Parts: sequence; structure tokens; C-alpha cells
Amino acid sequence: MEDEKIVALYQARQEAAIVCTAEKYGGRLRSLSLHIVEDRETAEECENDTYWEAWSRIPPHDPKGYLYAFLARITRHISLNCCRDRSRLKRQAFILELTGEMEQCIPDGEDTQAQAEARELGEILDDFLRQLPEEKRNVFLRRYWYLDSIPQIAQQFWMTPGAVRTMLSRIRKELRERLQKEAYVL
Amino acid sequence: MTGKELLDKIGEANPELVEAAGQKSVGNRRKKWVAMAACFCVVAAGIGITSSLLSREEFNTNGIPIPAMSTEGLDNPMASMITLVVYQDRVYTWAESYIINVNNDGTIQPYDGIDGEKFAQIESLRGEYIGKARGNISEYSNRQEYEKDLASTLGGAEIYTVQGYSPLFRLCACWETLGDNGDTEKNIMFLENLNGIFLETGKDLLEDRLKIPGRWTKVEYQTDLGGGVKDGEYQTLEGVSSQQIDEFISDVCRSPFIDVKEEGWESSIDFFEECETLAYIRFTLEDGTRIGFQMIEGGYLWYYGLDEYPIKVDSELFSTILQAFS
Repeated sequence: MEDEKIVALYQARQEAAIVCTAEKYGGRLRSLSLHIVEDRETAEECENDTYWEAWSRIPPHDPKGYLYAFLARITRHISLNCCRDRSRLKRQAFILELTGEMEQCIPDGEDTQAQAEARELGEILDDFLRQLPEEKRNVFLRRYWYLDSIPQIAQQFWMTPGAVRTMLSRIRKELRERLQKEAYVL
Repeated sequence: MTGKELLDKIGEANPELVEAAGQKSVGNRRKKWVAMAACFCVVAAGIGITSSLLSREEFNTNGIPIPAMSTEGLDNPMASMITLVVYQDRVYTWAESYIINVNNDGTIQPYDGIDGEKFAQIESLRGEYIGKARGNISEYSNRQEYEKDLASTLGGAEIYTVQGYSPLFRLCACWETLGDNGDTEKNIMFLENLNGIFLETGKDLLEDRLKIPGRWTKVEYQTDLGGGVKDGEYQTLEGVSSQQIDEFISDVCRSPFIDVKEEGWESSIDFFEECETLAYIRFTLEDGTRIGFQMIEGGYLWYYGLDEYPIKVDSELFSTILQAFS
């Protein structure tokens, strides 16, 4: 079924919306979650939670034309929080590692005084990503959107782990400089 | 703002960019295009059991047994990026892609060094038409789905044999994608059966399957030597004579395949963790096809698709070529 029709079902409060979403995107969403949580049962739970979250957000959201992206964001968010909250998943250390890497992108407070001029963070991030060369952008997103490990990225991109770390470190530095330049409110 | 909040905010990155990073998994060194509409992360489940039997018709049956793909992959996150087609009980996985974009005014936009002429040369290698890939495989597909002929993640692609290569080893998938602006992206993807087989020496791969000896026309490289990552195209190899390249290929053909586990590593991931010197060598053959390997200090030559099984090359030329890269 086309995305527009599925979204229309949500808007009409028809529960068939969830069935159709599961049929069309269930596999991909479960796969995305499984990659993050590394536990099949939790991944299925995250998939189901995604449907109910979508049910509560549409309306007012109207994700015609980007339904999968809309759902994938929810799945990533739910899966990430599962990793943070459930110690049995043994993913907390990995998420902390990623969080620590993100901390390195945040400029010092005293460097960011021009708060009134600050632009929306999402907008700055999108601009920053678009300006990165394709390979760097993909490596960055594999690490911080898909939450891949360094060796996974190394194999995927035919690089050494050391080269991946170097590349990510440079991108984080560039992001930090960009946030500083934009005087982002932190 | 904290690191946690920034990590969450990245989750809202532009969907197009996220999708591109998720579907294509591209690096400049090795293009892993899996951009078919129905193609997404999958693992192979319980198939290819009879591969080794069928492969005996033509290839060496001594050496290291490369296991058929199995459900064990389900527990391995690294198994989640496989593009595959099943044909006559053999599993063919992604090996190389050739892509051009035909603009709506008829002009051709080359990609990764492949222009219209080179693309046409590759296209002319299409042999016998086998059929249309089903696109029925996802991570959660059951065994019955995998057992169907032309089961695949590549929905709608036309599958052919490849002239000059054994269909027990290599097939190609062809498809076109029409863009919103009237452009057409034309794709040819080579898929290779590198599981459920035996590999003894480099000859089993380089000569019997890939047919490199005596047919290469160009050698290029990329390297991470020096600690930096170089974006961009492959460089032409200089300072090494054609005769030395031929000798190097002969040395590789005589060298044994090894299993990284028997060398003391738990998996190739552990091996890569320890390795800091890595280069990429790519041969272009007279039929226009391109074949890439990773070269790792110590004499390891790696072919994509054989992650746990490098060739251990005992040849002075290995170091000579690595030095020429730097």
C-alpha cells in the first residue's frame, strides 16, 4: 500500500494503519532496532512501540512522502533509550562511548555567547552533513545514526579501524568548530 | 546541551542522507551499492547446503572448506549487509558494481571512472538470461523463501550469466532506476558464489574463477599508509614493471588460503583491529571488469566476500608493491 494511504488510515484513526505499516516496513524497522539493541526480543518490542508512537503522533504529524524516515527516527530513539535503560542488554558501555564522543563536539560555554543569533541545532547539523564529502558523511552517520562499531565501519568502507577513528575524530573537530562558529546555544 | 542530547538530535538528521548512508554503504575504495528499492539489510538463512557438491563439477575440491551461509549469521551483526541472489541452491553475494547516470538530455554522467563506453563493454558481457530476481528476502524471511530459485534482496533485477566466467562462480544483475527529474541510473552488479566451496591456493580464485593471469591491463591502488585517509580515486601504480606484476600474480596463485581463526584471531574483525597498514590494489582486465583486493602488511591478500580467509603470500614482491604505494 502507498504511504499516503497508510497515513490517511492513521488520520482516520483506523487500526488497519498499524497492520499496513507492519506489513510494509516491519522487517526494516525490526532490523534497524536489532542492529542497535542486539537482542531479538527487545527489537520486536521496539518495533511494536514504534507503531503505537506513530499512532499517537499522526495526526498532528502528516508524514506523507517520508513515512519510513518518520518511523525509523522513532525506532532509533526507542531502541537507543532501551539500551540506556536496560542493563541486561549490555549496550550501555557502547552508548556511553558514543555519548562521550558527542561531548567532544560541544564547544566551551564561554565561546558561545552570541545566543540570540543562534540557529536551530537541527538546521546546523543538516547543513554540516550536506557539506561533508560523501564518504565522510556516510561514515559519520553509520557511527552516530546507525550506531555501528568502529570495526564494522572499517570492514564496510575498506578502511583500517585506525583510519576510521582518525576520520571520525576529524569530523567531530569540524562539527565542534562549526557549532562554535554558529554560536550555538549550549 | 549534552552529548546525550546531541546523539539524540542526530537521529533527526535529514532522511535522505540517512537513507543513503544506510542503503548504499559506500566507501570510495569499494562501492557497495545496494540501492534497489526492495533491498535492505538481510542475512542468509540456512541455504547453500549443496553448494560444495555442485561446485565440484568445475573447481578444486581440496583445501579450506568455506562454509555455506547459515542461520549462524543471524546472531552476527556483521552479517547484516549482504546483498544476495540464490540460483540453483548456490548463494551469490555482492562483489562489484558498475553504474552510470543517463541524464534526461541523453548525456552520460560517469561514476567511479565508468563512462558510457566502459559501461557498454561490461554490459556486453551479459550472457544467458536466467530470470527476474524475486526481491523476497528480508532479515526475517523463513527458510522456504530462501529455497525459491532467484530468491533475492534485489527485487526486479534481471539476472544473467557472465560471458567468460563460470556461472557456478559469477552472475550479474542488471536494472535501471528512473529518477524524479527524468534521469536514469543504470546498474550492473556482479554477484559471486564464494561460500560452500573449497579454496586451496590463490590459483583457485585468481586464475580459475577471476581469470586474472595474462588478462590484466591496468593496476591501481589506494592506501592508508602514513596514517591518513585519502579521499578520491585510485592512483595508477608506478615503479613496478609489468613483469613484476605478472610474477606477483604467479606468486599469489601459488600461495595458500588461510583461516584467520587458525592464525590466532577470533575473527577477521580482530585481525583488522590490530592491523594499521592497509592498501587496496585493483586490477582492470581486458574485458573491462575490475577486481580489488586488500593488501595488509605481513603478506595478507584479502578478497571481498572471503572475510575470514585471506591468501598468505610468501613473496618479496608483496613488500615491493606495498613500498611502491607509499
